[in-house]
Amino acid sequence: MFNYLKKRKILEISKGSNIILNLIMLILSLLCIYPMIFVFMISISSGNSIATEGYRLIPSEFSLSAYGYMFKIGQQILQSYGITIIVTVVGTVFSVLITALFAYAISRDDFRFRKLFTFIIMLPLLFSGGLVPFYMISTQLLHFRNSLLGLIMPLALNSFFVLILRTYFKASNIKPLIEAAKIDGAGEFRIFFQIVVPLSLPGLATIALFTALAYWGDWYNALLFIDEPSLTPIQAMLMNIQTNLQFIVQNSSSMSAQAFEILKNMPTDSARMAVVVLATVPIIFAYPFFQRYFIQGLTVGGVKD
Amino acid sequence: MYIKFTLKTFLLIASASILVSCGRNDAAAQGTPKNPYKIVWYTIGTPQKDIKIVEAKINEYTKDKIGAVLDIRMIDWANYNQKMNVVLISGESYDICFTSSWTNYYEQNAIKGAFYPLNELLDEYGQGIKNALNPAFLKGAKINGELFAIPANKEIGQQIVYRINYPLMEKLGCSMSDFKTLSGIESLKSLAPYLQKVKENDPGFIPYAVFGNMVYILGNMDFILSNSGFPGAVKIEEGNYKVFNQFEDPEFTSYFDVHHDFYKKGYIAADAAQIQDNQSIIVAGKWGADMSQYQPFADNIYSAQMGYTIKSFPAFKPIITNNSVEGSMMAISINSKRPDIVMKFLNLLNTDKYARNLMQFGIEGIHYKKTASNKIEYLGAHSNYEMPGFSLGNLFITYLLPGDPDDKWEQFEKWNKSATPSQTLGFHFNPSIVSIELAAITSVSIQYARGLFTGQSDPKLYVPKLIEDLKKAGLDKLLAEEQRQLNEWVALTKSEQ
Repeated sequence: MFNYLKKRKILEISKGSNIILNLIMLILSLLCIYPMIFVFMISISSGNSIATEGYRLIPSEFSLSAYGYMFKIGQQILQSYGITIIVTVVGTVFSVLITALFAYAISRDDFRFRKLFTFIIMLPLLFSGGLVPFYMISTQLLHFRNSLLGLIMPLALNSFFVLILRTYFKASNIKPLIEAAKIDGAGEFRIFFQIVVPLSLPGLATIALFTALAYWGDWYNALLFIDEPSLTPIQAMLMNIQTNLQFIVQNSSSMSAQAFEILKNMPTDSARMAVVVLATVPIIFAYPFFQRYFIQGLTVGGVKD
Repeated sequence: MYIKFTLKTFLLIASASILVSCGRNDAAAQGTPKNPYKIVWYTIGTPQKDIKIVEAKINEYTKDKIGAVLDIRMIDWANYNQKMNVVLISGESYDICFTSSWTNYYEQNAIKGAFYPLNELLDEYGQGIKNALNPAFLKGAKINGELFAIPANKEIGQQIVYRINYPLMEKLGCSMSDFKTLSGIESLKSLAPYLQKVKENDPGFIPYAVFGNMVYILGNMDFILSNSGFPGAVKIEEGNYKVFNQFEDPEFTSYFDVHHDFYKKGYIAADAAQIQDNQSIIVAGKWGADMSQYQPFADNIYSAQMGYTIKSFPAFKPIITNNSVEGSMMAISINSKRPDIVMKFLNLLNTDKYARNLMQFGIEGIHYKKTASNKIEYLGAHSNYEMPGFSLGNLFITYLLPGDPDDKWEQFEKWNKSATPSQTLGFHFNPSIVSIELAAITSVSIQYARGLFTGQSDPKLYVPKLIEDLKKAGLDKLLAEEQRQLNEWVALTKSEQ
């Protein structure tokens, strides 16, 4: 009878709110997953049913013919996958390394120029040079055109991540360990790689995950610097396939009948969706492996006991 | 101390960029077969696998002929505009770029000063181009009397046609003679009995497949802003320079009435205004008719693309407007080091059969084989080199494909000669003075145009509303400015004659 008076555990919530919160979460997850399912269903709809009914979640006619288009561009898909994977792996390793080195240096109180370098890394957070100087430096000074460097370098150092890691290093209270290691005769590199890095894995993993996702999803640098098909990452390729058809149809009145010759080689609606499915599914399957670190990493900014 | 340091960095960066700009080769010494000038050429289209092979092949030729080699950079369709924006603003050094009325906008960029003025260069090195082109091309492409890009020789006019799903039409017992050709709105109305039959035959079909993104043009009006959705038009008649608002013109709005009538009768898809394109429905063959643009033998292209016969009949005679001559052009960059050599190359591309066909079809024996002196057939490797022919200059010297009639290009020239040039051909409106009004008018126009053009909104209700909103947005000022600039242009061209 006095059940409601029963003392709850400190973080426990009532049954009613629990159900409501779970329901909200369920709806949110459905909203997230619905477009994916929709895209998949369109990719297995027949061209006929799309033409007459429009996009339907459950089409009247199924067809796998869209995946036939994949054989036509299969080599390009594989190639683009390869580029994306190389860029993501190399980019993430490189990026985490320089981010950690930078953050570690400015986290140490005994580093004389730490204020200067903190200032330098803060600056681009407040002001950015803008697109045009960025493009000029990248193409004319650094020669990123049609080079994988053009996909890796622009995302390699993120000021925000440096500041997060700096705070993390400072907060994790490793100073006594560093001093102890020094007394034992360890050099700076040994201290960093054998003591600081293993102790900071959750923080590094979070930065790594964010960086990897940024590299995986990046198409803009490819738009700026890459025009060779063999170097086009998968997201940029997807972007092109998705937007070309619409662009040409919209402008067909200005391009005249020649536009129709070009359209001949363009994929249909369902084929375009099939490309999306093939391009996204692998990263979906990779996600559970990351998730472990992801949850750990999210507590990085939390309270420490 | 920080200030000092930042100053030092700025100095360092500044000196570094000066060093870089000094590091370039001296372009003036180039241009011989031994020391060829490298022409950087941005062109539109999906990048092709074999482009480097073809580039190497054409370089052998151009090196000896004009002392230049090419660096061809293909940018995909939808990215081209954005990419060229960055290239132009950053002042990147390049030589040729594709420009047009629909992407990498010719007029805007020419007015901004991004392109090299070509009048003198054309006289000196481009005689071949002058001889090959219909004079209306150069007239329409000139801005204030100066040419900034070389139009490709192709179909010059715009002609509105209605396309018919031919097998379906035969099945329903109709014939092409049921439709009224060249009679404007009457041509559209003459579709109605056929569309009714299409609807009765199978409700799953869409009798009249128009969609929201379609650009609507009429064959007897020239729109000042090159788009029928934005107010300001003149009737195409010799000597008529009266600017009017097309939304207040009974002839123009009668199209809304007919489309709305079609919509109510169920000839037009219920969500036509929201549809981006009608490709999938045409591929599926579940349509009766639609509106399109014509060029000679366009029916063959439509039919070949879809795999069944599509026939068309014209609603208007072909007209020549700024928009229609600016469909495909090549401009020389203002930053080009050797515009003379680049012009020589453009002349070569527009007159030399070998170079032109090499660019479009690739290498003989690899990408195609010759079947007659002027006819070719694709080989398997063609799929590694599919270029959009219309973006590469003069089409009239390119080889014919199987299915093309022998007199294809003669027919094109004949059709070009039959097209009526608009009396305002070559008049380019400068929107900068009314840019605020134009922005407001654009958003009003976008709000109404799709619904009206596709027949979804009732014109009796929405046309007065549209006009009212346009007036609030500054319609009168825009029309007055259009009229003023046109009058000025007319006075200028008259004094030149």
